[in-house]
Amino acid sequence: MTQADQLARAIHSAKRDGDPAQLVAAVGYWNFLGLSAHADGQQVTYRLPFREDFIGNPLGRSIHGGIVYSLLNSAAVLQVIWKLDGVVNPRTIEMAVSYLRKAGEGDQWARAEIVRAGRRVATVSATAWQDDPDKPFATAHAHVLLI
Amino acid sequence: MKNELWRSILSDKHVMSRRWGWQIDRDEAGTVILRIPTRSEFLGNPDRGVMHDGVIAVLLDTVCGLAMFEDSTNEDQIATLDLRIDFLRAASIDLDVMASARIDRIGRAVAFVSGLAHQGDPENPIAKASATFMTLVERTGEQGERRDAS
Repeated sequence: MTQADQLARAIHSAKRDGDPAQLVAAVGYWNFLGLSAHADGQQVTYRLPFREDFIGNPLGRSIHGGIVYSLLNSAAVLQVIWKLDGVVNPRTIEMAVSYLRKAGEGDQWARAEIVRAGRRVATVSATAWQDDPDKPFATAHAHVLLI
Repeated sequence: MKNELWRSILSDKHVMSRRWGWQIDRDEAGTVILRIPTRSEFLGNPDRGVMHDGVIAVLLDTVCGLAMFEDSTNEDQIATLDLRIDFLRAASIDLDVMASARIDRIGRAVAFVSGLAHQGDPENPIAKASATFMTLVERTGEQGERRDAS
């Protein structure tokens, strides 16, 4: 395979080994954020360890809304790649994030669920929390183009 | 509150500003334009030379928030309620990204802001955002301070 198949190769070997970390490693922005992915059987959980440069509002000490968006978007797209066959160029069409609670200094966790996968578009919902998965600080709803 | 927040975000001590390297500028009309210089770590799909959508989200969330802070009547703390982004075009990793925002309406409890991101050609935006913010402090004023962007 050529250099231009980096992502496709990473997807292939990550799925073969059941190791989403190989997939995360292939995308520069996920590395820049320090995102990690852990598969527990069918369930994949995404983690974003806290860093000072995630604090948007220095007075309120809250995580920047764009970082939260990035986490949820990454979880949604990763879940699409992980669960569906043959997806090598997923593109987010649009995504809406609802901010439910303040996200403060601390690690962030996320999960995503494919609500429906058509041939061309997947509908995905994602949730992010810090200490308690039953008290999410944000949810997201996305349409991802598969073709 | 607004000036304190502006100062802290613009200061050298704001780690996120330094790490992301964003630049705040103004056009001839005085509208804030936020620019994030590109870097290789922003790569989304390595096979297609596309910038990750999360970078666009950081850009648009920031510029929409800045529009709120800029509004001269908005002295309150704000919290983002909802942020929706339509990704119109793939962003090239070879170009910087820029965005500006405008307030569509500030109501008693909720403000509506629109943002638009591009890579040098505002006529062909790469993404558009609709953000809603809660104004955290109850607005007071003789006429409830309802305001339209027109």
